[in-house]
Amino acid sequence: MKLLKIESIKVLPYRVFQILGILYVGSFLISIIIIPNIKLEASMVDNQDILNFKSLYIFPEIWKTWAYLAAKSNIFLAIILLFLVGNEYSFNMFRQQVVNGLSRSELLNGKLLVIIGIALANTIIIFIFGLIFGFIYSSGYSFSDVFSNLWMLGIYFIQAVAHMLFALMLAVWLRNKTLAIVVLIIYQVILEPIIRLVVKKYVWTKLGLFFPMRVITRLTPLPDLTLTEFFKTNSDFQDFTVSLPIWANLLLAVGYGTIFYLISRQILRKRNL
Amino acid sequence: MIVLETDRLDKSYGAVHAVNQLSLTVESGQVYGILGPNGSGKTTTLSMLMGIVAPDGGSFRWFGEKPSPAANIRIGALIETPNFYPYLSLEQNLKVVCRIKGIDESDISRVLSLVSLRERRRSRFATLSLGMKQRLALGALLLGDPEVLVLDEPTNGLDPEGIAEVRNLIRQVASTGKTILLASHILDEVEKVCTHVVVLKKGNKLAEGKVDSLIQGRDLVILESEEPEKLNSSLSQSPLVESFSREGLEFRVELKPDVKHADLNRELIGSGIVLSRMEVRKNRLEDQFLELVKQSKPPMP
Repeated sequence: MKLLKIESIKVLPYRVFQILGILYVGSFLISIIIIPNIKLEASMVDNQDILNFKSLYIFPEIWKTWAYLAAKSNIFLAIILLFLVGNEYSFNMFRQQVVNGLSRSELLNGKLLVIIGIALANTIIIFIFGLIFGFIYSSGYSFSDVFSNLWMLGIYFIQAVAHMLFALMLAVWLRNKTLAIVVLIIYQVILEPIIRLVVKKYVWTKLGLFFPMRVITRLTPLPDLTLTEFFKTNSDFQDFTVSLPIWANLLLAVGYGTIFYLISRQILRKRNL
Repeated sequence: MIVLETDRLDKSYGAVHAVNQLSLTVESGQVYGILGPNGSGKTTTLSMLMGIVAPDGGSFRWFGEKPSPAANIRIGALIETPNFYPYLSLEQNLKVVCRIKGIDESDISRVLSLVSLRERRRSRFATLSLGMKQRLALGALLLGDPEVLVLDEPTNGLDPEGIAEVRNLIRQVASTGKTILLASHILDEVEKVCTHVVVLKKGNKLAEGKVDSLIQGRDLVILESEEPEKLNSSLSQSPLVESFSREGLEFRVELKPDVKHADLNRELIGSGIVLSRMEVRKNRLEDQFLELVKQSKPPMP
């Protein structure tokens, strides 16, 4: 409770947090408002119906869609976290808070609470808007339809937490938010995909599926649609659909998250502040 | 009661031996100065004592107990620069400190008035001048009225008025019987504020003791006479003289405790010695300090 209160005093008035938070929620809302109105004119598919995105907004499919869409911009959340932890270093506040009487593990657990708080807030936002849009687009749904895929939001939650734990580790390791942001983006967008391609080709085709960013970003599977079938049959798109079973992905993500947390803890405990 | 005890604290940064086997004891109610030039290991020592730098060797105990966050809560500490969240107001920043230390937030307005920053309580920290930031840091460490204060160069970067204010504040707090640990490179500051002092140079302890005896020292009396040999023999027999040295015609005499230079003069007149010069050199803290530091200079290669 003490840590939660301390973190909320520090985090909520922070302008960058407010702006990135609004951007994250805003970009998500815009994408879900625009997507149902997209009509794709793709000549390579015969049946134009499968490109109608409205089917994504119907209970219970909507929870899968939304978890998937929201997770797409999780890098925003990771960047928010890099700012928050980077600030503690650049303002010398990790140091000052230890001087004031906080333990090093409390420093880290405070950040863990921030991570859980951010992930939880987003999950709730998605839940509320999901309900609204679901009711708008669905017709003839039953009570069980509305809630049957809700566990996808739980997966989204774990995905967001694991992604932010990765950012936490980078921030604690590098102690510099600009550097950490650059490293996060380069690793996630360039480095890991290249390594995955290499190991896929030369080591084991499936090894690529076990890499942390792959596990974390693909935790929420592509919504199960006729569109997915199209991807599956078209070899150019196979990378989108081949993945580990959800339970395996989930286990790996929890494992990676734990490892990131433990590494951060170890670094923070050993280093001078 | 012993507030702080360090036992052979040691810390190196690469080839630099920042703190070398430092042992000291601070008792309740003392205003304990750590005096030394820049780079003598003062900040490193305080950083180790506050748990932000791990010692390579040795140990220390606060309040007779092993170091812990609980001990830090009982201490108000300012290490190096004032650290706050620049985007938060003074009040919000102090709220964070209150939460960490478990202090009631009502104490905030008291300390803000104490350091005359009450009108600025809603300003963001980033908008303060350097002197105000330093004052806020002092206010923050007074939150909850801690038993012990740890101050690292508290007047650094302040204008003369600010320096006087801060020193007054420290003296005021010290007069309430609190224990204060103060690191400074300014001799004058230590002399004016502290009761006890340890002198550091390059991580080594050069001297330790009460400020009165160690730093203020005894006055030096410089004598010259037209009959130096007579003066010489008289001084070597005198019960008033602690020691003396001779450089040409000039005699430098250190008197025994509580002996006034007038007493010496009277004695010399009694033995029929006429002085051509008698000069009392107040043994300035600065001379002593420079002397201490000079003595420890390593021999030239």
